[in-house]
Amino acid sequence: MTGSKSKYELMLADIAAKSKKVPITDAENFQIIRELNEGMEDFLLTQKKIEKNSANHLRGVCLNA
Amino acid sequence: MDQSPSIIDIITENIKNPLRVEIFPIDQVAAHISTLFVEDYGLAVAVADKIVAKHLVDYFKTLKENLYVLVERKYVDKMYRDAYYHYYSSKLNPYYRDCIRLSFFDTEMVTDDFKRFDATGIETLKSRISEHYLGFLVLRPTFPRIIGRNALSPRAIINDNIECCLAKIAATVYAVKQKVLAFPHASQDHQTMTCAETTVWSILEYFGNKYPEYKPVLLSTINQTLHKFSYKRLLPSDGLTAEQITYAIRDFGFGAMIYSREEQEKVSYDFNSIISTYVESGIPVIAVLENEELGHAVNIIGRTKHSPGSVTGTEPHVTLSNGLAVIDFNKIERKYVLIDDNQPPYQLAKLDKPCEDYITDERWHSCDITNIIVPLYHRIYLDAVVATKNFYNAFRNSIIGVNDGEKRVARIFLASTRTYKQYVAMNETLNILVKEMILALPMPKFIWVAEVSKLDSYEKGDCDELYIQDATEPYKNSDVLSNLSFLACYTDGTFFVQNFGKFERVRTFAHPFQQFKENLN
Repeated sequence: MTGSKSKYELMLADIAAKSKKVPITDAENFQIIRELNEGMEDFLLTQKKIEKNSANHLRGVCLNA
Repeated sequence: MDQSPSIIDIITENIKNPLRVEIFPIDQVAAHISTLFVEDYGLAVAVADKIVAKHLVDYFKTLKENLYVLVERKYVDKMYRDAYYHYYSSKLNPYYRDCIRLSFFDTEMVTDDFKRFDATGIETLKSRISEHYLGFLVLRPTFPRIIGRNALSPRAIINDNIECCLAKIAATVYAVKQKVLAFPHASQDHQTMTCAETTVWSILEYFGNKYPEYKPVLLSTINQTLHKFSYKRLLPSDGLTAEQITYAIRDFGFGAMIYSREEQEKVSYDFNSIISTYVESGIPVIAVLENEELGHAVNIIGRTKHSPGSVTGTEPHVTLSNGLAVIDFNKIERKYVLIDDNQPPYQLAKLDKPCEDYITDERWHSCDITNIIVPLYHRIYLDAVVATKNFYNAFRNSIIGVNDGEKRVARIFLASTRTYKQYVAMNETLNILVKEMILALPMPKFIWVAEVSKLDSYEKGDCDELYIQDATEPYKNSDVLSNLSFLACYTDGTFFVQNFGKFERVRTFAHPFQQFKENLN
């Protein structure tokens, strides 16, 4: 059944017609990921150390008011 | 001549110890409570007056002046009864079991308003009560620390220009069931509860009332849990360590995280922005306040509201390598909303030396937030610090970044997919192709979101770019050739989506869209 399209479907069809898939090459894909990961290695190592020290830092302070 | 009896005469002649309800303007309540403390609990008049003046009047000072209060005597409070049966009843002195409950309204109410006696529809009657109901306060007979369980709407507070994590908390008012949007609060009684227990209780009460995954618990259950982790007795309470608080939170089903200010600041990471990120995510955090002599725990549940101009007028916090200057919403200085069990609820304080802002006793003023404990949903594996770093790497990315050099406001937060997809579906101004793509995208229960706005868009309540990360991808590998936490982004009129390591790109058009505001009430 075809029937008439809703206003939303018509809008969507209009936008879909004006949009297009632009394939990402392997080189671009690698570039996105490489740049996303930039500096992460050092950052994660520092965070790991902080997490460990944070747990040690908690002294047995009684939290009385 | 015979006088016909009043209804009160009939009740008191026939019912032993009848329940009684009265309504007063708020400025007359303190005197009435003082009388009840004398009549019902046998306190000396001078003692009752002093306790009311010190504890109740202080609480009322934070409330608006035009409120009306319904007073119920002989109220059975679940939280106090739990403490009573587990502790107070085991003592020699005859402690009382019953409490007084105060219910607050923002308009004049009379007792008839709570009963149907004519053709007025039930829904009309109930909706009038709901419209004006602002929550309740239980006064428990643990003199002088009388402020018991309470759930008060921020609408009742003088400083109501705030946005907070709030849950719908059920209560009955003169036999009519009601719900109030509030954050649970109680004061410590110094015997069964100190600040540590009340912060844990209120966090669990909040989540238990808000999400079906959790349930509210009483103090005896918290103590039972902590028994496994304590070398000494827990009653009378001597406080808990931050480790015990974390253990309790984890044992009740949360993926608890601890952050230390000292450690974060050693590597120049802004500790306060971690607090802000979680608060912006609708997740209340437990803050440990310490100085050389004092230790305390409070909940941070919200922040003051901003005018858009105050955000866009802030100097950028960072300029990225692609020239993008970013005003980080989570780094903007502001006051936060604290639930402190030594004070009335919804105290406002900055994150550096918070006690200076709301505690008069100067011994507290040097206290700083040394640690925070964050009750995360157990399947949130990606934390605020790594998620934020990841977003910043995306903002400066040469393909998926924001590369037009125009200044932006970035707001980073966690959202539940359920709430976020509803926001997307209901968003009037979001490009509908992007809307359909996001709705079709499989997502975990929680996602990290970064909304990025040009300054003029931000001032209109809009954003221009959007980045979404999967909160179940912790990004732990340091030698990865992928970054799996990124799910999608919408930037410069282009929608990018990642399918397990492979990015796809759909070029459509750019259009500002309404910001997400569902995390805080």
